[in-house]
Amino acid sequence: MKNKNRSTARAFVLPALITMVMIMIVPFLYAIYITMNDVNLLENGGKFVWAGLKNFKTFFSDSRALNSVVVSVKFLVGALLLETFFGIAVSTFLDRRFRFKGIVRALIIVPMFMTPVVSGLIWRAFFDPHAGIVSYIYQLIFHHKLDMLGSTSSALWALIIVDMWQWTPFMILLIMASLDGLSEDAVEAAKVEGASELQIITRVKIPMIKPTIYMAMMIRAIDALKIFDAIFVMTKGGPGSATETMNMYSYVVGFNFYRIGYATTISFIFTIVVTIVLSKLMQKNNSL
Amino acid sequence: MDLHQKRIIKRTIRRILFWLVLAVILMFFMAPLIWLVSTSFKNYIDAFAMPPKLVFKPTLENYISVFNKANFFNYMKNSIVCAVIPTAVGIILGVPCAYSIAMLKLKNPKNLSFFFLSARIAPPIMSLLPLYIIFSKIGIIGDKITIIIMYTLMCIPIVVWLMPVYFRELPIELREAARVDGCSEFRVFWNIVLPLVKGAVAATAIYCIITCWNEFLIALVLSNKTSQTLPVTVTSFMTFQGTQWGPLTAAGTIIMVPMLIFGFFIQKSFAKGLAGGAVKG
Repeated sequence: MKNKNRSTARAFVLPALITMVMIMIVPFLYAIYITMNDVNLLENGGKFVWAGLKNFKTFFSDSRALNSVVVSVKFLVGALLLETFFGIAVSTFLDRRFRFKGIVRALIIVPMFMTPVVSGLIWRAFFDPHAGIVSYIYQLIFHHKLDMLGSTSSALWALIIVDMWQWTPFMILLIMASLDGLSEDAVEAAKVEGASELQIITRVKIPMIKPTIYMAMMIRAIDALKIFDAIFVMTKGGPGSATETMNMYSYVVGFNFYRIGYATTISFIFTIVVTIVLSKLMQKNNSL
Repeated sequence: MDLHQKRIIKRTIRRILFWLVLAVILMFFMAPLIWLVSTSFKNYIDAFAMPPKLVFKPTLENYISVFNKANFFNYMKNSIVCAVIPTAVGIILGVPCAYSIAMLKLKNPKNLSFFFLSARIAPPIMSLLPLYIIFSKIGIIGDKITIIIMYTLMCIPIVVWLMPVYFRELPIELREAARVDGCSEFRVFWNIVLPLVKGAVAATAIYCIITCWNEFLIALVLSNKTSQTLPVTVTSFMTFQGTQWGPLTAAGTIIMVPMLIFGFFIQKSFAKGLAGGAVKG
């Protein structure tokens, strides 16, 4: 009986597993081979020329590649901290009884289901220095023009704002759901002991929903590192390479310069580092 | 009496402040959608009037020009096909797999779920580059099937990752009782477990559809003029002569509205699947 149980278990897993191996692991192994070749689709018909570890050496001396690592990290840290902070702030602010709560929640989380390309285009229009509403409001207050996407110092911030707008709702959705599930007892007890509202939030509520916050941050980290759509339609990695993340850079090398060998090397390094770090973190916290 | 009045005033002020802050929050999250939809009904002159025109004469010209655009319905069909097929495959293969990981006695379920998790974490460009070479060697670049394969690669891990929570929630006695009655493991799954989680399966399927429908990078690289999906079509309104905001916002509205409706229906169960046991309700 036990054996039969195990064989059913296997039979349930195998189709998904085999499919994933075929379309993920096989290409991944092939990708490792590609990293050791010079492949340029524009020269001699994309023939593979053996290059050993040359692509990896190139990566570590390519200032544009190293810059893309920095941009990715900056974007990740900025977006993650802002989204977590505002996610907690808004959720705890809404954690009370009031009329239309359900509708308010449904409206707030609208951005996370919006097509990222389209929302990127909307924000591009908002940030337009001549006709955009962000620039218009800025000019009303500070009396000079604002061109966030056109300047190297602020373009990444503009992208972080857009990411925050789109994905803070994700945090809010998860945090509000777990706040709803909390038992009232601990909060009541704290109230009886005379804790202030802020103390109740920071000392009672937040510690209790920590696992959810942690989980939400992990998922956000995974997706913030992969961001492509908004960057592609808003800045294309510019101005200069101020907003060129690793993901964007390997796209440019691969599908604008057609240097597939080097592009694969960049995304290989990116994937290995990100996957190992994040999946270890997630496993450690038993969030599987 | 005086104290009582003070308390009422205090409470009213607090309430007004609450709704004011709430209005600002809602404005921030809703403004882009409101702008998109309203601009799609504006003519060229109204669209970029500053300050924005709140009252204007609505026009359908943008929608007409989108529907007159060559192939728009064809692209919509591509989007539907490229969302539905990978979702179906993801559900058919992923649900039994998730059930097995959650409930059955596998040798090392941890390693398996780690594998699917890493597939969720790895950026799509990692598979896209080698598959691009493989697809062009076989000669199917530009065919929808390439997009469908890549999207299946996204959907299976999503299903395997979201579903176990719902299985773990089922009472164990249910399964054991059926097993004692002599049901095979497969019959237990098919006749007893599956009907109990069909809501969760539907929500997960909808989430897969939204993910595929909104996807851009893979579609951009693998599609051509005939096989492109709607997110790629939207960017084609950005031309060298400038951006045609009218048709672009109309197309954007058409693309997004169905996904927003879907999103509205799955929000609760989605929160639960993601946050695992941490969320009740």
